[in-house]
Amino acid sequence: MVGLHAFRNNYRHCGDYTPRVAFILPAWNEADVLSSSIDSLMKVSYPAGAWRIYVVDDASTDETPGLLRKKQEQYPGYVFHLRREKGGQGKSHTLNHGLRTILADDFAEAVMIMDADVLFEPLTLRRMTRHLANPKVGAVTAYIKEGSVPGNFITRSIAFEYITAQAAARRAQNVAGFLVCMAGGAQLHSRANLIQLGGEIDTRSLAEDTCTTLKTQLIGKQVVFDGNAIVWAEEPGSLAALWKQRLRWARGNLQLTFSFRSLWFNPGKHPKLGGIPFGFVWFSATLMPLFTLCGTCGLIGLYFFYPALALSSLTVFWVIQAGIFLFETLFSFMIDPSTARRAWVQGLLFPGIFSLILMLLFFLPYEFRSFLHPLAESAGPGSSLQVLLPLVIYTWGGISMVAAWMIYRLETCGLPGWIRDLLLVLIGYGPFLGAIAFTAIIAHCRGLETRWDKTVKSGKAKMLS
Amino acid sequence: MKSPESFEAMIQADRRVEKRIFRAEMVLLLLITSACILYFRNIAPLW
Repeated sequence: MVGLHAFRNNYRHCGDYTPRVAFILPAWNEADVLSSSIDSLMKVSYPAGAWRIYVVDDASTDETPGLLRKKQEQYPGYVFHLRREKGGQGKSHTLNHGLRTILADDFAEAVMIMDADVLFEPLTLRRMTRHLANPKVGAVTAYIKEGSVPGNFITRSIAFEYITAQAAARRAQNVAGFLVCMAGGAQLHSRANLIQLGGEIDTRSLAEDTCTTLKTQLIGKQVVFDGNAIVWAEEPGSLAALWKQRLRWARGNLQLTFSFRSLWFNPGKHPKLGGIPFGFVWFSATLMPLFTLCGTCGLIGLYFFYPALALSSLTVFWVIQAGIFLFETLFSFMIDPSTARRAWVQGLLFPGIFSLILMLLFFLPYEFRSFLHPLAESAGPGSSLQVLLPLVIYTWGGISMVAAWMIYRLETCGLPGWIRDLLLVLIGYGPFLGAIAFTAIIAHCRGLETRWDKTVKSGKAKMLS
Repeated sequence: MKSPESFEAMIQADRRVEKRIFRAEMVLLLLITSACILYFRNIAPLW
């Protein structure tokens, strides 16, 4: 599907279109990052005077107002400071404050919703606006790359993850004719699209970017991902910060699962969003940990009740895993070679060393894995290791998520970074994401309060290539 | 409003990237499928 994007894309409908664009940057105590993001926006290759930068200052208590005064003097006529006196309600409230001002004026023909720390490459804006030449397109999103300098094991894991989750997955979604989510850090809307959406962002969901994406498509507009339009952002460098960010995303997506419940697998409601492919993509992401647990329960059930089938099922499972891992990793490296040069180690270690050993084990001669057969002698009375090891291997899908959660808890208790990274190498970054998604499901089922929790940025992002 | 850079050059460059990705996917699919066939037909049965 990803490769087919070479033939099925929106490029043939693009035009040399450069509408007047209003950038909207929500900022709550973002003095550390605003200067570099405004500077990057002032270097975009775009007709002079055809863009403005609106910073919506969400009652910041840091140096943000002073910094904005300096930027207004440095770039007269380009930088605008909109101040909210009561802040902290979340990104969507802040965006709406800015949108009210922008849409009340007739300057903006398109609006770029972004994050305060995002850096634009010079041609990114033009790569995005060209799609709006097609009147069917309501919004366009860019490829967000992780650009922390100095980076660490976690930021480089995110850099690799974004190749698969954005550069690959969203190209495939373009081919399928829908988009699940526009990146909150870079989404360009036509003015007409925003007005059709009611001129504001939905404030009820924690995943306001996904909500806007779905609503845009529901009003009959196309949403396009351009993988060649690149922006850079700083992503969390610790498991605690990553947990907070991804838990918010996962809980937001669960909220939307219920808000849009009449849409799923209902083509009558919308031919694309109600179709089977979209439902498959949506639920394989939101319910992924439940599928993993079901698989684990199935394997352990076979182990005890249908021993003849157990080992062959486990073998099929891990051989398929190995094939998917090999293809996905190598293909990701080829899609974005510059990121691959920085994050190839994290890409290869994404599932964790333990899972990699298991993948290898099932390609070795039978003697190497005969101890896994439920009827093998080692599974009977023997040392506890002989009994426990096969059970751990059969249940690794579930256990790895628990282990990943424990690494996160240990980090919050002060575990040194190098030990955390070592444990993450063993258990895998993938199971960590599974643990977050599972926690979100539990929190949702328990009806725990959802609240906006900002991801703190420190200004480490750079344009790396 | 006309923009300063060549629109056509930008589109052509991006199309080349998409074609490179297509070729990479095809080559990789071919290689992995061949490796699987070789493994399961010639090596796995020996074990």
